[in-house]
Amino acid sequence: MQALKDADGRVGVGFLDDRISRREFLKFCGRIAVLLGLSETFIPQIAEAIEKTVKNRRPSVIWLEFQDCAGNTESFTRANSPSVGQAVLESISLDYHETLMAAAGHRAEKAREIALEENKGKVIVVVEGSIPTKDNGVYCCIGGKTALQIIKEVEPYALVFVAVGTCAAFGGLPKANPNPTGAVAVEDVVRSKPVINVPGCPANPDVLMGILVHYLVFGRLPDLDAQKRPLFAYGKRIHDTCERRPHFDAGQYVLSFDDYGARQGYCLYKVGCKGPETYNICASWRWNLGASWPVKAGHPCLGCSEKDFWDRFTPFYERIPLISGFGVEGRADQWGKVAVGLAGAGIIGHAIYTGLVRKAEKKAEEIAEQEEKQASESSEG
Amino acid sequence: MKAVTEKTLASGETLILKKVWELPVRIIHWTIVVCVVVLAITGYFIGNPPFSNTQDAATIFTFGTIRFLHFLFAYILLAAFIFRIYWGFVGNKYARWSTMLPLSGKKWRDIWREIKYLFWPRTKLPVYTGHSPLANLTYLLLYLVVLFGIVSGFTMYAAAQYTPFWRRIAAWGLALFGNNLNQVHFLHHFLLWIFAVFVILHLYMVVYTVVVSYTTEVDTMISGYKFVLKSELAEE
Ligand code: HEM
Ligand code: HEM
Ligand code: SF4
Repeated sequence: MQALKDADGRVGVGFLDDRISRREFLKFCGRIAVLLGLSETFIPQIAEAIEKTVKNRRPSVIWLEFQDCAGNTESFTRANSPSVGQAVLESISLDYHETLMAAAGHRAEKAREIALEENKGKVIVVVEGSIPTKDNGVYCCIGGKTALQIIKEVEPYALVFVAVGTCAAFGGLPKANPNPTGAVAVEDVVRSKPVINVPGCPANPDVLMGILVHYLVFGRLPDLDAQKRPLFAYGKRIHDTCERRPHFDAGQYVLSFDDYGARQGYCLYKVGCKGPETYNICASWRWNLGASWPVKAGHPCLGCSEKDFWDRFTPFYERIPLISGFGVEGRADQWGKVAVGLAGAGIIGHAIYTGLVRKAEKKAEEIAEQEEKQASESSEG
Repeated sequence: MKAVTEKTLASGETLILKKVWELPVRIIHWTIVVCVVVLAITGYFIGNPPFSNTQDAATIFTFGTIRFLHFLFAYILLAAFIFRIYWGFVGNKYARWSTMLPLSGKKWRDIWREIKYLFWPRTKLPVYTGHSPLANLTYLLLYLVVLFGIVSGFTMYAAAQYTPFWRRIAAWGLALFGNNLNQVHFLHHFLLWIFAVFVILHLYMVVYTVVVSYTTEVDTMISGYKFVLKSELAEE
């Protein structure tokens, strides 16, 4: 890592032959400024803040992985400016990251303890993966400690918890029905420290950089929405920033994959796109240096960054969840039609019934009348 | 004017036409009818766009227009709903919440008697001047459904507006639905069918009261006139 900084801790200065150049570094700062919605005048400030941090090796970042697939780590090492983002985070001092760190075993755990002690109250704890709570949390143990224990141990040292990925933010796949491990989200167990949710499967790595940079530049965490997601990244629905939206408004849909509409780039609404229900930055920020994102590539959005998406946004290729019951899964509209049919049959049945009853009553009345008449006639005669 | 203003029932009681539904109730009723019809049709298209245009996207706005109509009539429905709530406090006694809410055991017994009346031969039903108890219950349920449509609908609507005001509404509404916008769509999707079932039963109820219990006219909700007991009129 040393090669990334000069004596004054300025990142990238004179390292054109190394992993990042000054130019690349400033470009990175520019991108982050755009991401945070800041003007270009902030770029030098961002660069300075990062440099200062790298020099002081503060704040400390530790990255905890629990019930996850390491997808966010994967995503992060392939960040938009891969080498820069990663290099910056490493320089900031990524003191503990099981997948990325060289140390292993007791030494790794030791590194975490040291980082915590040295930065008490200032540690940015990035959490990836959900936390099992069933059976005392035995379903996820690292170095002999359960995820729950580790979180509780780290909590007093933390400045903030950043829950990256849907599993950490909302419980994600481990929490999906029937949730065998009793998985919960970070915010369900962390009580005394602020939590920022960065959901996504995986989360967009630039958003994590954005949060860090925001903190470095302004000394505070970015504004969050009601679900603790940073507004700069989760402020809008995918549907409202999607490049296929004009086709939606025009009523032009892909009806099946590979049809005419699919080739024309029409809207994926009818093949189950969850863009209208999903808050994320994919459509405007995209992935892999802005190269593409699922909808651009022709696949409907799955809503992977939304709470309970695995249970509530499925089937992925249907607009609306199916309804189970009576042994079959049916579409809402099928059940609706059945209800209307039953109501129609019901009123027809009731009308016929009423007609018959009234007729019978009338007949009974007539008979009674006739009997009365006969009775009076016979009494006369 | 009315051709028939008096009827005599088999029981010997006399019915007289009387204005029961005031103008605001009738205006609200037909506003709701128009709104529900437009919302159901546009809602059906929103849920299942039945076509896929192929013209130049720059020149057409079909789906945008359908959604616009849905939202326009949603606002009108909201206005009608708020007005109806208000009228339930200031209107005549037949429109009052204090009359309509089934808060006493007697009300529920009346509802049960009316159900029996519908399914049991020779059950007798008194003549009700306002809503009959069972119809009354269906209207209350319907207003709850309208409220649900408004809450879920405006939650989805708010989710697409990004002003501080709408953001607050969206956050508040989403919290009601487990912070899951797809769930809101799913539940809102049923409205169409709930209304379809209601309208079938409602129209049957109207025809039934016209033909069988004689107290309603087909145009009661237009003219406001309904048959009431002469004896009851005398009381007032
Ligand atoms: C009371 C009668 C109403 C009926 C029958 C109705 C019906 C529907 C249906 C069937 C859908 C499609 C749902 C889906 O598949 O996603 C829909 C969507 C929608 N409705 Fe309603 N609705 C009603 C009232 C309202 C109200 C009062 C609002 C308030 C603003 C509203 C706002 C919306 C919105 C925002 C959508 C989603 C549109 C989109 O995502 O493009 N609706 N409605
Ligand atoms: C979408 C269609 C309709 C809806 C949602 C609807 C809804 C309602 C509601 C909520 C009420 C209670 C009024 C109140 O106290 O505020 C009502 C009453 C009434 N409606 Fe409708 N209505 C619909 C269609 C119709 C139609 C087409 C007719 C005429 C043939 C009609 C005739 C009546 C009558 C006569 C009453 C008073 C019944 C009574 O005395 O209990 N409705 N309707
Ligand atoms: S593709 Fe999906 S996100 Fe894009 S406009 Fe269509 S429904 Fe909305």
